[in-house]
Amino acid sequence: MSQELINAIIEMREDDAILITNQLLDSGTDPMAVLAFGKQAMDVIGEKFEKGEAFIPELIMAGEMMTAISDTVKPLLANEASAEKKGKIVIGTVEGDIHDIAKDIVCFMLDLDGFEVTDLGVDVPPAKFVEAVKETGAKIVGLSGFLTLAYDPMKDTVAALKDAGLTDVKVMIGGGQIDEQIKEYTSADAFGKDAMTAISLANEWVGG
Amino acid sequence: MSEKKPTPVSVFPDNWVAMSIDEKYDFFKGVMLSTEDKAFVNAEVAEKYKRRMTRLYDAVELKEPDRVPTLLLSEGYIARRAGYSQADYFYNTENIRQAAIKFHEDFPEMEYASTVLPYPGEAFDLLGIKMLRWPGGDRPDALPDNTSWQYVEGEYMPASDYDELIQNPEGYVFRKWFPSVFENLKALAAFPSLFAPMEPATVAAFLAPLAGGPIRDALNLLLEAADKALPALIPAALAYNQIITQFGSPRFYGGLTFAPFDIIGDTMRGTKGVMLDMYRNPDKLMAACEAVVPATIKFAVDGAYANKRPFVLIPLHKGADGFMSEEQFTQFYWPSFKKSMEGMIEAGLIPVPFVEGSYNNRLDILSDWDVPKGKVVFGFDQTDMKTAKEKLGDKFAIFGNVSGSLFATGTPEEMDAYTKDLLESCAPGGGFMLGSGSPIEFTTPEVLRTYLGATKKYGVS
Repeated sequence: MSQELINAIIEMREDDAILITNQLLDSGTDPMAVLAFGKQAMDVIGEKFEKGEAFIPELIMAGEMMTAISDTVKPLLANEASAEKKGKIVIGTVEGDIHDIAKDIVCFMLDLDGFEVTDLGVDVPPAKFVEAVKETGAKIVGLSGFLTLAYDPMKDTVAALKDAGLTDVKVMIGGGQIDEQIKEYTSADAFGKDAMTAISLANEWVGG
Repeated sequence: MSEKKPTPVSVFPDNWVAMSIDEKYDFFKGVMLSTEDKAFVNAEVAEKYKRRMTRLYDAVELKEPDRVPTLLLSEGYIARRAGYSQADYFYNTENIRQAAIKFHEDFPEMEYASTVLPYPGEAFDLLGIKMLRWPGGDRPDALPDNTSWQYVEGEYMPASDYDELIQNPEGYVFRKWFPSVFENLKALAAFPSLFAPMEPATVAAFLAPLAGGPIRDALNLLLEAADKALPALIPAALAYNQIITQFGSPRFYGGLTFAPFDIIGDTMRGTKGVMLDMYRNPDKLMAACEAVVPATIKFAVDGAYANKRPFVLIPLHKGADGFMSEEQFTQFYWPSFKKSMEGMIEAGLIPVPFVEGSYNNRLDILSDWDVPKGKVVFGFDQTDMKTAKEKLGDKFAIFGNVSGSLFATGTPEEMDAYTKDLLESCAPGGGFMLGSGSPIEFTTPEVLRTYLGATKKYGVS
């Protein structure tokens, strides 16, 4: 039945995915294993996204299904030691920009991929990024921004991190009007066009 | 005050309804090219206007103009360089008029009118609009003065309302969407049926609920907002008039509309809602897109006919590459969008869809579209222009793709190299205009001048 759950998620059959999850749990399947099946399905969806076979609707649908599954599973986990995290990441939409949909997808996918994500929300001033990095000890920062208006706040945030002595922190930027030229302009370490790029960059940077 | 009599060229012919698409198109073209009904400061400016308009129409009609026209979405930059803030677009629109005039004075090579698009902030305040956040004013959630307005994502229409929207789009919007988005118009939810007064016996029953109380207050508020809006919009009209008559830079957009899917996705179901609906409520989503097609045509036609300018800008949001698959685009986005544009063409108008993001995976679908030649102009942001030209060049004119990042951070040399390459690959054969890929917020005068001068170097046939 595990393969059925994986297939249901990949094929975007939401009702089936929830139904099978409950059946698996009722029949005594380890809740951690159920989550792991979900994760397997998400890996496939991620691959499909990279190949241009899945798109935003599928990522959002998958997110909805995974949230529902983990909401069902979590009460059954008796304070089990959570799986070891790959690394810490601080993410936010930069100051002056309030777009959150793409950022939320990136956070969700990174979380699922095993990163500990601190989501600072939208309209985040540089000082707040610095503070969060100091507090969490994160070595990766993700800056999101949809507008051309985000160029300078991104640049300012990268500079603020450097000024605060956080020189070993790597910064990735992403958003609708972000390209190689803006990566150079902001002195970020990398840029990405989508959530999958964020995941591969993060894995690369933690040596995964 | 005596009003100048309109010249015959701009009066709709009596047989308008019976006229063919081409006749309607030609009527508007005649109005656009005419210099008679505009108070140009001198004959030289009138000539300049005519030359630029002819150039534009040559490109639209897939001919090679004497020189490739240069378009620019300049709205953010013009205020910034004049020292005005984004908040002025909402609360000091006279400043925006001055900024636009200053911009045209400093850049006389601007071939076409820059965008002067004010928003009536005080009216927004009165209505209590929830679908966006904007700069200025004294609301607690005001954005900083120098930040442009942004959507506030939300499900302003729950999925359970689809049937109501589909059955009666305008009624639904008035009684449900207005109260959902305009905090201070909640009372419109109880507005009586417009069919109520159709029999003498029920006229009174229609009027009674409007006589006093919350509905009356809501209607009064709506009128008050309209009264606040008008003065905020007048500076833009004055600016355009001056730009045309003093600088000879034509304004060609007469209307603005949106693709049906974007209307549903932007401010009704929200991005997340509409994306999920492709799986959760596919049939209703498609039916809703169909249901709003007449409204998208109507507000395009209303604007363009009132202004007598046939070009209708359609900024496109959610059908771009990455947002959905080609199959989903074909199923959910394209049919109603196509129908909407065909309705505009039927009315003698020229839809100008502008694709935000990229459309590389949509070009084949556009190229298969059975549409009369030269009746649509497509603008692109990040789409590959060479391929777009190859695939669409025999159908409609294209423009765009000079990126906001190049304007913001590039050097004049980089701008020169980019526009040279773009013009050399896309200009030959006609049907091409130079255009920016996004509204320009940041640039330098040197980079901008390089852009505006590019067609003189590389776009002369």
